[in-house]
Amino acid sequence: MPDLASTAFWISVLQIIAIDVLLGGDNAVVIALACRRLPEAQRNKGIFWGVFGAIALRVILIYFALQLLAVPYLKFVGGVLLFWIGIKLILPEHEDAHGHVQGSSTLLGAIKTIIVADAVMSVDNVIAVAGAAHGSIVLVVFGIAVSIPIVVWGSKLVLALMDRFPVVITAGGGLLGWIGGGMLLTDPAVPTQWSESLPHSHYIASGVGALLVVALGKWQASRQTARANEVSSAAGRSQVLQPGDPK
Amino acid sequence: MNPRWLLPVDGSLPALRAVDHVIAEALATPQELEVLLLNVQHPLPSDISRFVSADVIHDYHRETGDAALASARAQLHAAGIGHAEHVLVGEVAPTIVDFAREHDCGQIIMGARGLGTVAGLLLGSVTQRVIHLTDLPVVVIK
Repeated sequence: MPDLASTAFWISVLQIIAIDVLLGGDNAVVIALACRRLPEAQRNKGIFWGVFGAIALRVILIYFALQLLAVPYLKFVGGVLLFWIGIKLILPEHEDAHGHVQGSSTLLGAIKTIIVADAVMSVDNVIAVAGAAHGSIVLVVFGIAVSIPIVVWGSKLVLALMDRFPVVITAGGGLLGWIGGGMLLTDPAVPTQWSESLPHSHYIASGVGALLVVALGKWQASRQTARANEVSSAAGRSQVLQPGDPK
Repeated sequence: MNPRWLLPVDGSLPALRAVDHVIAEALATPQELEVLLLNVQHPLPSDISRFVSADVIHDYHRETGDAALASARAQLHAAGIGHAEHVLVGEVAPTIVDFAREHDCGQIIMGARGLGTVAGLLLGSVTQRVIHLTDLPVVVIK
């Protein structure tokens, strides 16, 4: 049983909930967007199977996550992967960065998009939860359990959250960097003297990870904004839905 | 040339009061006002957009932008004031400021606080950032 009185345990719980809201919520948004253009009956079917796949993949991945993280160097891979996931979370959408999948209005096209998204995002979600759980199977299972209602009902919540408080995205990216940094240090291949010789080494590694992700993400985003603004002033981006007729 | 005013709205109550203010001003001035109604959509993270094609996201932004503009549009329409509508995607405050400059707007009229109330208290609202970034006069409606 986990130590319910320890602060570390409850910090992990909060971290896991935040990860689930962002990554599970993003998964839900992708499913909803992929099914937008389908006729209503097919759309519901698409959303149902998309959500089912996302949850099933997360449950299957739990079994592998903890075992894999015990293998030397795999935590390095996981940590670096988390940096990358965090940066992608902070980076805003960009014309070049869109998926090559066509905006198809067929059920098959939507299913393809959903399968790819479910697979990638479930892995992202499980790695992040496993990193925040610090080897506790109870917390990993808890993390996956929390992600289930979020994948099912969370798309509206996440879209509203991102619209009103865009800073949560940056904070979420920072959190992923924090967990990734801590993961690098706890890899079985890292000699324990390293972390013991330097006081607060875990916090330092985590803090550097968080700063790295936020700085890289913001830097990339600022490079994109300069270009994105040019695009947005074009006729395609600014829709004149109703020309101003004189009163 | 007629005065051209930029009216950025997000569907919040202060934004709608800003619309009321513009209507009152427009009815009181002898000149014709050109009203540009603008909604800026925050971009989705690339974590989402990498899986979904650009035109689907485009549609999504257009529909949400359209919904955010709906009540302002209805108010202007009821008052018989013609206007142009734009929906843009980008970081909100800089996009509003750039748009006002590119379209030679004379002033910006906006609500004191949009939908992001709590974040606004902690981090400064979009309105505060617009005031900070623009050279134009900004009329803030409480």
